[in-house]
Amino acid sequence: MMPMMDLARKIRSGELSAVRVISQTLQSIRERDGAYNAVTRLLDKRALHAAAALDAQISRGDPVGPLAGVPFGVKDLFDLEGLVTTAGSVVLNAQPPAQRDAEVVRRLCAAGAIPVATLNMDEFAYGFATENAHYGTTRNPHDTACLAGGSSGGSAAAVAAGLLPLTLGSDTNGSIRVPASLCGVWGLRPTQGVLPLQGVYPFAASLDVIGPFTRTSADLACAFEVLSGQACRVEQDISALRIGLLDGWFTQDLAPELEAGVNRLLAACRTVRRVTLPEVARVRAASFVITAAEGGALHLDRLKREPMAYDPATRDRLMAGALLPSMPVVHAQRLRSWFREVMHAAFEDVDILVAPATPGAAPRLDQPTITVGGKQVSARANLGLFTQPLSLAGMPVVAAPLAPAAGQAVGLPLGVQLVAAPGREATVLAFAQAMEKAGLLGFPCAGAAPVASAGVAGSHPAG
Amino acid sequence: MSGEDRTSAGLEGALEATAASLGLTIPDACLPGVVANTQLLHGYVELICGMPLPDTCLPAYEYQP
Repeated sequence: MMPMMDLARKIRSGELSAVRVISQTLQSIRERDGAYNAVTRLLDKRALHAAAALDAQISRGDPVGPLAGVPFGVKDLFDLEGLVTTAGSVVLNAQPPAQRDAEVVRRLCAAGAIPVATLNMDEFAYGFATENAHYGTTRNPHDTACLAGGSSGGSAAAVAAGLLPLTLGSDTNGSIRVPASLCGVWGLRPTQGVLPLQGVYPFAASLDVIGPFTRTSADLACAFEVLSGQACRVEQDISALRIGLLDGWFTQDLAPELEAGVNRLLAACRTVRRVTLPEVARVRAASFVITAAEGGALHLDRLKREPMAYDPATRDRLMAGALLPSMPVVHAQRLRSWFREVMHAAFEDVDILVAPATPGAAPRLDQPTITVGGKQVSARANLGLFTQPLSLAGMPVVAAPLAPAAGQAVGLPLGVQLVAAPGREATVLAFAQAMEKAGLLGFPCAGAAPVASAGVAGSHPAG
Repeated sequence: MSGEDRTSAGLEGALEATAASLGLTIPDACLPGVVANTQLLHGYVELICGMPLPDTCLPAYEYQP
């Protein structure tokens, strides 16, 4: 599937009909997603109805939005009118269907985009793996023997596989940035509070942020403009930007090819300095504690009534969080205030901070661990090693796939985080687009990649 | 009490007492997992509480860039 803005342009001009694009998208998902398990529900009736209405608008010459006819999917924690929002669980199945779309879904639809699917995730977004006891594991489209990452794994994998040009996910500790990195697509965690959370099922409310996944940085900027109402595709001179490379914590256990990719990127920047953030281990610990406490408190009543209905990995973590005393949780939030000031001060000397998104490429499904400090630890719990500290501060972060090294075989994707000062999405997106044009960022779609014999049968109930 | 001092058995009792005060019963099948996750969280709690902060450093419930 072509990138989002190219597709919208062809639909607006009448070169492609929206009904044809949506029909082909639905068919393609049915035919191909069995290998990936990115999609949980298809929205045939709603999508085809919206596409027919759009085609009629275009044939009448009525104005249509910038995303006219663009099919998109949402992580299964965004409300869609008439559907129960599962949040990747079964414990909400008895809840009434949503009465209206989530606000950000409404904004995309108002711009002409058409929702076609809900997407897989870790239960209640608590994990970095998208290994879900109820809906199965989402596989990495670049190698289906590997994890897609999580918790927005379905959102990242659907874009990486070329099933959809645009998806939405959420990011509490790295749930956009980790799967975007492992799947080789673009993701954006905007500044905390910029995008509305109305109609989005919460995880850890004080950390939750939502954002888009796309195949190109230009599409990411366009999606953010529509979602936020902020203009950010203006031409910017990026040559004067001061770039900081995060060292210390953010250099541990790095895959050599990731280090090489970061060095290639920095070599193209005029001004680069090293930046050391203090107390990052404690900052990451604060993220863990806040997440566990807020998530546990949210679910406590249901954990009393039906604990065994939860995914075991989620349930035990939520229960432990619910039983935390209040003092460390408050202290963690105070530490968060302190760290924000540290980050604000860092941005007095640099415009963009660069850090790896994960320590290396996607772990294998049959060996779901990563190395941290020389020890093998759970990938599900620890893939956010580099993302968690940065999201605690609330700054905007672009997850950018590194381009494969010239002349070398294309391996699994690797990603970096491009962090800007609060509200500076336009700057970081301009930098991202310039680096993609320079061939240093951006990863090919997985369509042509070899697919292991996954043996996963796809079955998508229509919603 | 440090994380190392907390034996699993002692922690189980403490967790069950706290859970009971909240009206939560931890099913036997869940107890080992809850204990393991609590031990992990206690390690993080020790890290964050080991950093003194000035009284004027307030909790960050809202973010106003």
